[in-house]
Amino acid sequence: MTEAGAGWPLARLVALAEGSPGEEVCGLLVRAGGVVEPWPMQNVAPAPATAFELAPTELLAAMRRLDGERGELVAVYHSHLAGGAGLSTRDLAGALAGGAPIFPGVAQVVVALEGGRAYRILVHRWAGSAFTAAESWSR
Amino acid sequence: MPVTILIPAPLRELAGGKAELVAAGATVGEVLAQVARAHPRLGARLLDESGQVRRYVGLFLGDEEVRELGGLGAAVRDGDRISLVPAIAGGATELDGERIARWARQLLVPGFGAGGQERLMASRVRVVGADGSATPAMLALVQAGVGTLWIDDPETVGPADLCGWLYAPEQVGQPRAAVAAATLARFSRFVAPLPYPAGGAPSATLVCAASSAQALAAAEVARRARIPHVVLELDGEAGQVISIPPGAPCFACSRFSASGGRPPVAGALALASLAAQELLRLVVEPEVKEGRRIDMVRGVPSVRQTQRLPGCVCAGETPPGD
Repeated sequence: MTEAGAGWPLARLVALAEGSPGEEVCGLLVRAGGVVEPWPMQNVAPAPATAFELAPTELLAAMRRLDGERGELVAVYHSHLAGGAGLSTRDLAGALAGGAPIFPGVAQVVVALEGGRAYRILVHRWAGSAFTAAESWSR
Repeated sequence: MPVTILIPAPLRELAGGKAELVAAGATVGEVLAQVARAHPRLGARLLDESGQVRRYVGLFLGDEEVRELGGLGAAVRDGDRISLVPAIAGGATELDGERIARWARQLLVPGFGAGGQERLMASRVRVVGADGSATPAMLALVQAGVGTLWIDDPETVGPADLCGWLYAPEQVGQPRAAVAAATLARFSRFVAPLPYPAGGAPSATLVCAASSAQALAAAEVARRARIPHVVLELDGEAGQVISIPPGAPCFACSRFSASGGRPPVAGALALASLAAQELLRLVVEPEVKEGRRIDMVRGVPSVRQTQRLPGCVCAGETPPGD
């Protein structure tokens, strides 16, 4: 594991992604009490095999929970059932507004599956003008 | 009517660190517009250039989604609380299974991925010069999956072109662009190799011109269009490949005078493949801003960053986004 995802529960992300081989999984990575943990959410995208959208009501609840637990949103994660762990053009369209990240300082984590088995996680961080990726886990 | 707008923690730095803002208005839309005026950085995330709410912005009035209450025209009352919750969404590649299988190896490369492949598929690459030495480059671009390959060459296939990878002896005398397009089309049904149409607007250019004058002219056209371009210049030893992202030192700054000639040696053909690889990099990674030059001497490459010559016309430019 590289520094990109050090201390993050990447094994749990792998388990979540492999537990849903037919639909993309999605959620938040939140640091609370010094520990980073996944907050999985329902994927309400119309075509969840090739897209994700965090359920708005769950997201509202998560934002309130962040306040209650003094948590910090460190990343948004989702899986790709095929095609690798890079950010697709649709991922970028969903992460950017007016050329800047919607959530400043929040990384984008993609778990890549092939045949239902996770083989790579990339952590994408904003580097001023674009997201740059670092491999955090692979097998 | 004063209404409270609740800002989620990840967006607070855009709202002066505040968790709550107070604004007035008769409708959700009016309240939001006032928030955007008072906090422009937050506003830029919420509203587009025409002042419309971005499609991903989720709004809740109390616990109910605003869109179920009639959208931005929904009336607000004194003491109402509006929560901003940007939608978080995306999607895997729009590549279908057949395309994924075709490009599986490059899709696995970190930093390339589906997004890179989609950029390639959307690209229109003009290749200037299609003699035998340029054939490995054209083939590499097709195999990588560029969307459109425009082949710009007014000459016919000559005996010397047969040293390359695309032309057959019976095609000598036929137009290079048409022959190359027809042959390349057989390698991939996902790519459209075509003779360059007059007035076509490429998104990237690969210059494999037969003379330095032609190379300089083609590179200058690409520089003025502010599109990434790569120039291949072959010489007696093998040659050089110069990568020029928009705003980087131009070809005239970056080259050193080649001795001319386009030797049909394996090293030259390898350099043409390398030129294609350099162009693919610029298309896939638009954030690359530094130019570089690869020199090949008797099969041994060296790489250096390009430098701008004092007083060059390209000096007044800066990379996009700076």
